[in-house]
Amino acid sequence: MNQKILQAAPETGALAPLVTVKPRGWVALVFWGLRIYIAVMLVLVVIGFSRGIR
Amino acid sequence: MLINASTNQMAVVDDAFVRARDQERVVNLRERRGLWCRVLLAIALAGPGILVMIADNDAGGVITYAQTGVSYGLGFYLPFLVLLAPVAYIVQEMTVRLGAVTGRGHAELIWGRYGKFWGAFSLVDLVVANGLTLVTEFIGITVGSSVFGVPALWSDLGGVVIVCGVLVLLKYYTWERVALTIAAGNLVFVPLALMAQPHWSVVARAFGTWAIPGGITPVFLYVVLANLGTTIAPWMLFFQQSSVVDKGLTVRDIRAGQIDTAVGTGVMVIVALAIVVLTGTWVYGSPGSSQNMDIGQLLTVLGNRIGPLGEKLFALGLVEAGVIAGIAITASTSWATGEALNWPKSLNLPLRRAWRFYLPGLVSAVMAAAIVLIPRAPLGFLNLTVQVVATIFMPAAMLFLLLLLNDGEIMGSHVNKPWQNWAAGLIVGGLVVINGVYGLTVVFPHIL
Repeated sequence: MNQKILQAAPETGALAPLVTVKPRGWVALVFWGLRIYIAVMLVLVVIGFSRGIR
Repeated sequence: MLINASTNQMAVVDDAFVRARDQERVVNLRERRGLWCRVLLAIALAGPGILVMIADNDAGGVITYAQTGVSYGLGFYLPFLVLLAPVAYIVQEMTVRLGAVTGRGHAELIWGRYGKFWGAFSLVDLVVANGLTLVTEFIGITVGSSVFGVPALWSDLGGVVIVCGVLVLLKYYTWERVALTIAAGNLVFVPLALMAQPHWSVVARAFGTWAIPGGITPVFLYVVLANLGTTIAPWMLFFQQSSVVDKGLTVRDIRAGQIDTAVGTGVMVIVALAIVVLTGTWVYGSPGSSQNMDIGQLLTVLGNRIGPLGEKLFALGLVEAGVIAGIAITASTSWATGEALNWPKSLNLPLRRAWRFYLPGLVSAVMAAAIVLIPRAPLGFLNLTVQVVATIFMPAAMLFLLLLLNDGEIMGSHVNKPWQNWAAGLIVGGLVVINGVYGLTVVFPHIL
């Protein structure tokens, strides 16, 4: 590969596979908050659509 | 399996070769001295930020800003739109750093880092929201084209051909240059605003007083939320990051990416202000105007007030807004699907090798165009569904962005600084509250 490209982008090439993390601590709390938010919003949407919104 | 693996490997090599050529162009410019070379370098590095911000002034955005001016004239919304500029910049700048440092798209990072459930949740939300948003883009294209006497069938077909053709036929660098050229048409609203000859003293007073005609009412809050929703949309996070990756930007290019985003933000706000000033000056309070005008009625009133040239220029801007957003959103859909499902994922890839990459974008464009042509299609309901999906999805997308930018394992020394976390945290918190309220008002319109 062109030497200039290697100098500009030394990370060019196959990327290492991503490692899935298990949320801990405050990150786990954030994910639980997100689940609750989504669940509440979905319930509201269902109620709203069942009542027939314009 | 072997054939698929071999095809995938060949596709990756094709993509790497083309991207290396794009990066070599930047390296060569960087090595040369002189003002002209600096200008060419800046132009070469620009793209994702300007495109995402101008595509944000899509057909739906143009209609929202126009109706804001019709409803509230020259008042609160002028300084409010300026206030949204740093909000949009802070959010989008994070995607530049994330893409440049990791070399991966947003969907790929969510799927890889947080697992299949959140990856699939993000992908499905994005694809559904993008598909429905594309419907509004094709509505804008057909309504705008009708001013020129072009039947809906032909303008719709023309829109599909342009959007799909640009996606499939052009490699990233050319795709970006073509898209930027089309995006320049967004500026047509600026001379239109000047043609309106607004009272600049009234405009200036709006920034000083933040006047709200009629006071804070449920409708006012609804319009605030609509403007916020049209300024920051989930597809923008995915699009800009994927674009940064496909362009081949690296850590060295982060500063250029930030400038690119800032320029795009400025242009976006200027155009949004121009549209509000235009309709706020010429349509607000005039005979025949009402808060519930649709875009067709608005064009007619504009034509009566500023003449056929003004009406045609506005219609041209509406068509451009639909086309540029169509180009950006189809690319966003294809990128996100390829990233999440680990397919070869680049605009540099030929169709025959990477048809799976192009297929989601193409299908979504064709379906959206077809829906617009269905007689009595529930377009209002579809638009409502977009708003609902965005309401649920945007806080999640923002939270993932924030988490990833604080992930030392993938960002290294480029993690968010404390002030960036505070700023982004305030924005995320505000978005959660506002999106929650917006979702409530959409589902229960009489709640406010």
